[in-house]
Amino acid sequence: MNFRVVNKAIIDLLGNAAMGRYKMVGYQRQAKAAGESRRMVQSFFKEGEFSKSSGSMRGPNQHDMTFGIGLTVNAPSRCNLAVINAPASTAAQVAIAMEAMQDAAYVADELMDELFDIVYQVLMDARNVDLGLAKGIVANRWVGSLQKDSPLPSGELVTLTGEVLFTCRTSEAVLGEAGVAAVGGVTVNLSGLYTGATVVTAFPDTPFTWPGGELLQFENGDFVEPG
Amino acid sequence: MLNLRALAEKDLAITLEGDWGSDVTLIRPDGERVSTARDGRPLRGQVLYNTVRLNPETGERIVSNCPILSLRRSSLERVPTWGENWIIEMPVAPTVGAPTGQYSLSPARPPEGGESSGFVRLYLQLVEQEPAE
Repeated sequence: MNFRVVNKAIIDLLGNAAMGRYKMVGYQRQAKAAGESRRMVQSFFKEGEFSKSSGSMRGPNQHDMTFGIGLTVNAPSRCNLAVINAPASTAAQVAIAMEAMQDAAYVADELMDELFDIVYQVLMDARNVDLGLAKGIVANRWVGSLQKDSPLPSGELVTLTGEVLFTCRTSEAVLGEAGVAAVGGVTVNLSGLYTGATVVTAFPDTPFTWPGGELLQFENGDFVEPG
Repeated sequence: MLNLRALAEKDLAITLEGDWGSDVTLIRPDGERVSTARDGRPLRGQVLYNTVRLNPETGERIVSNCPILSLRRSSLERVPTWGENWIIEMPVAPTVGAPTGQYSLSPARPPEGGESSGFVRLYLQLVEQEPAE
C-alpha cells in the first residue's frame, strides 16, 4: 500500500535534511532514554481513513493518512565552563558564570523549539510538496499540529518529547492477497528408517506425508517414529 | 565508647571516603573551590553512576546514567542545599584515568540525607559548555 511508500519518503526526506542536526530513526516510537544522540526524529504511520464512495468497493481508494513524527530531545545544563575551568578566574567571576547557568529543562525546551522549526520547514518546503516521490502519489500534505510534552529528568540529562502530526492523501490500489506459504520453517531431523533425511515444516508438529505415502508425526518439534 | 549512631558516622570515612570513594571537587555558589575535607584530607565521596528505572511509557527497565554522589556531612564546611548553584567535579566513570565531568544539582530531586544519617546524597545533572554566541 502507498502509505508505506509515503512513510519511507518522509523518513528519507527528513533524514536527508538532518545534516547532523538530529538523528532520524525509522519506526514506531521506542523507549525514550537519555543517550548520545541529543535530538532524535522518528516517523511512523499513525492512522488512515478511507472515505466511503460508490467506487470504494473495488478501489482504488482515497486514503487520508496521518503520520506521527516523534521528536525527542535530551539536554544537559549549560554553563560557561571556560570561565570556571580557567585557573586565572577569580571566585567572583566563577560565581557569576554559575549564576548564569541554564537549567537542562530550559535548554531542552530551546532545542525542541529549534527542532520543530527545522522539521516544519523541511516538510512544508514547496520543493518537498511531493515528498521526493513521483508526481501524483501524494497530495494535500500538511502539518496539522505541533505538540510538546512535559520535560522528564532522565538521569544526568532532561528528556523532552514532542510530536508533529503530518497529514496527506494518497490513492490505494486493491491488488488482492491470496495467501502464500511462510518462508522458511522448522527443520526436523528424522530417525529410524528415515535416518539421514530432514523435513521442513511450517509449524513444528504438522504431520508430513512421506513420498511413499506414510504420514510422519512430530511432537514438540521432534520426530515420533512410527510404531 | 561511641554510641551506635556516632560509630556509623565514623564508619563513613571508610564506606564513603575509603577505597570505594572518588576524589571530588565542589565549587560553592560564591565561586570558591573546595577539594579538601575539613580535616585537610582530599575530599572524597561515593558515586553511584547507573540506576535501573522503569520507562513510564513502555514499562520496560532501562539503565540510566544517573550519577548520585554521597558525601560525609562532617567533611563539609558547608552542605549543598537545593536551589543553590553548585558545581561538582568528579570522574565521569568509576574507572582509573576516567576524565573529569562537571555536574550541577538536579532541580528535579532535592538532596537527601540529614544530620542523623551523617551523609548527604546529591542528585546530579550534567553541565556542558554553552555554545558560543
